[in-house]
Amino acid sequence: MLFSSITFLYFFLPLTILLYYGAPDRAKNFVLFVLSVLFYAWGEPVYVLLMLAEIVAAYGLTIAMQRLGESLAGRACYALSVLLPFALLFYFKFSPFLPIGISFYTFQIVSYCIDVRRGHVALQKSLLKLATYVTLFPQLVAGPIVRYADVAAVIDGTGDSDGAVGKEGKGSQGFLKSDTCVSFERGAVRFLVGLGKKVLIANVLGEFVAEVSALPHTQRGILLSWGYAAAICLQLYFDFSGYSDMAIGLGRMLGFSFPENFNYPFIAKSVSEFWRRWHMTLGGWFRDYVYIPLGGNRCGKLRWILNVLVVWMFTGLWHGAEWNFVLWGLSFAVLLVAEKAVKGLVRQRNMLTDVLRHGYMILVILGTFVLFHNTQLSGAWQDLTGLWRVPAGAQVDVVLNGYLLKNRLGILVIGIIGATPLPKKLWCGFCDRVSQTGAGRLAAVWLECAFSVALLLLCTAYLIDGSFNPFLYFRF
Amino acid sequence: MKRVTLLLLTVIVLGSTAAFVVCPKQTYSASERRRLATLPKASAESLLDGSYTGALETYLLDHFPMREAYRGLKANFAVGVLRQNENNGIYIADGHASKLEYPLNEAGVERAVQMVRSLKETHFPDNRVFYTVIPDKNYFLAAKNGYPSMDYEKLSALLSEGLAGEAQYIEIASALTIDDYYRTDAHWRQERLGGVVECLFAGLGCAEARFDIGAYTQHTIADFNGVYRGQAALPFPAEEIVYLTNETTDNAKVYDVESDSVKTVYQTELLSDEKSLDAYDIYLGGARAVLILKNERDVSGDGDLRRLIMFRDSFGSSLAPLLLEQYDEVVLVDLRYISASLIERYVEFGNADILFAYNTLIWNNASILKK
Repeated sequence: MLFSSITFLYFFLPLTILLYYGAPDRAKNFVLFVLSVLFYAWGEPVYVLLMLAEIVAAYGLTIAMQRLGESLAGRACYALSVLLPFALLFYFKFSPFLPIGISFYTFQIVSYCIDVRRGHVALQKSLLKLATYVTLFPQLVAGPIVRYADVAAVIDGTGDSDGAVGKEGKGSQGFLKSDTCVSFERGAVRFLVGLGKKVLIANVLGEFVAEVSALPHTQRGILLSWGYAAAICLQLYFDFSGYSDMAIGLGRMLGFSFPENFNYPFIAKSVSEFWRRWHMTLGGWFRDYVYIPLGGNRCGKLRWILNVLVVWMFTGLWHGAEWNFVLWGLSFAVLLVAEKAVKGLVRQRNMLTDVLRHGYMILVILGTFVLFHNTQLSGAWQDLTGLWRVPAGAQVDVVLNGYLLKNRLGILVIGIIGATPLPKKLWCGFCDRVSQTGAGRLAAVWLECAFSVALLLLCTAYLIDGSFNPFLYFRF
Repeated sequence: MKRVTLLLLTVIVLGSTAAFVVCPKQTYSASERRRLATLPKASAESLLDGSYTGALETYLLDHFPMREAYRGLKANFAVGVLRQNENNGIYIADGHASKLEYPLNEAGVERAVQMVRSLKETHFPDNRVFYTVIPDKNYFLAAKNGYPSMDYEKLSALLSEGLAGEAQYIEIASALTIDDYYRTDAHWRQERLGGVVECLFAGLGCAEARFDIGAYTQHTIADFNGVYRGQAALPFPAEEIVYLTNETTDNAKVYDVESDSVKTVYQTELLSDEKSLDAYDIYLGGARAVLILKNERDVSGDGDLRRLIMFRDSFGSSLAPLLLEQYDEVVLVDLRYISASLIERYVEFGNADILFAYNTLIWNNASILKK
């Protein structure tokens, strides 16, 4: 089921809230698990069994692993708990059909098994609770990649993770408490912001991308090619970060605190900074479970380069078993190594170097994301070369090129501004200014209310009117 | 007051859900001119292959409360706030709604040419063969309003080159203006086709090319929702649709080969009881594979049967009744609904003029014509 669907917004979500908060505390995990399975089975009625089987396997193997300790059998259980989900993920990555969300829940299961082994989290003895963690519908199919430690307290009912739930007893998830309402409302607004990013921006940019894609490269001018490349980057960002916002908002509505996944990646001035701002939970996962175990940067230069290449090749492969994803990942590895090499050479920092670094990063983002977008390398090459030259023998229709750009100029401008911290800064600045008076605070409340209602109504309108609604990260 | 956002969102969501459950369900959408989805029936197969959930989502979308208002909101946001020049591919210019159609599909035109040549070679090598190009609304609107369109000159050149020696071209575009089309629909207005009919009669070599459209009696049907009105979801007043009658059309018989039945030229009864969602279907009953229009009077007065076989699209439905002025029999073949390889079973080609009359959108997308 898609978050951005009428079914979810007006039927599944209200039902979930009512059942979850209406259920007694001891039944909440069961309610959440059943609803999460229903959510997943809505789109994957067969492969839901695969996910459940993986959960049961992880449950059994981690219990056996704990009991058997450091013995050979215990280590074998540990190895199996990690290798089995990866083997299935590998198999499906190379098969014609990829079950929705398998890349995400595989990483969650594996991180749980490793964390239990490392003693970072306590073994979960309840199969229901472990299954609730893995299947938790807000983050099940497209992240963020939530680790067990992030949600264990709420699932175990031993405390709240962000003060989102009520204070009626330890770990209570009771409704109608004042602070619960505040957190619920914050979650709802965050969800709507994500929904707006997805439906009102990403989908509309996607229409533009589809329009230009349908045009042969020989009919695209340089300006249209730049607009197209920008739209690809922005669509991917608003699509994925919108989903993450929705997931985080839904988590908050249910009393969970999920990690942030994006932090304005397009303002980065280096590749390493970009990856501290883009898909942060994936970067964190590879850092903690692959890069650092391999030795990280506390080793020789050649070994470090090898570590970087391995991590980024797997990052590419995680997105898909096509060459464009592998090259995409490796290109970041090369750039990271290159950045480290020149880091010592450029010590001076001023506005000019900042502008140059930012310009460099924008070019890197455009180039790598065009590669990411094209599963055919030849298409990526044509898209990229179109940024500086018109192909030989091209017949560029100036009217058509101009029309396509002009028609989508509004959404491109909104997308570019929306991808920066400017809107948030303006809103926070406004709130700070008006918070001194009661009338000002009231105005801010009503403005936010009007914004949220407008978002809900507009997203509903777009969903009812259109059918263009794919989630790009569902294919990973 | 503090939780006003939560309160309002809850009211909207739960109110909409309740309204969906309580409100009676419509069977069709008048503005979109389509039947709405019905509640799907679940089966083990449909649940496992995912088709049930897909159908259920369509049902929920089709019957969502205030659906039309939401569609209007989306259209106005797209045009007013995002400054798009179109909504769902429909743009409005010079008071007309039209659908963007670009670029020229040269392969599609070539396919059309080959089809005409093949049909002639197979079925009517010795007949007089003609073709005409009915301009779509973009021909009049797009370029002058900054919208992209197909290269009409090139389309014309490709047809001329491909059909040289095979079919004779009859030019009708000069007899048309944008006002000869419905504002909310793709089609032309029958009451404005006088010039077109004269061009055709002259090109076909009819004894009398002069055509007095004013001699017909006009009949008006109100509340015509053109196909673009619903798709655009932008504020646009409904129109009136007009059909023309005289003694010839009143007495003519329409034989529908598909249903093996005889009907009248204008079938206004289709508008009652939702038998048809498109008022344009009053002309000959709309899209049909093969129709034979028979004139009751002897056109030439000498007993010779003058026959015209017209390969046509929906524009031909409103045009054909007027051609009965000069033909005893007009056979309409719509290759979108019958394969070219089957027409010999139903159509006699002897002693007939052949006319290929397609609008530019069909010439450009001839893959929808069945071989």
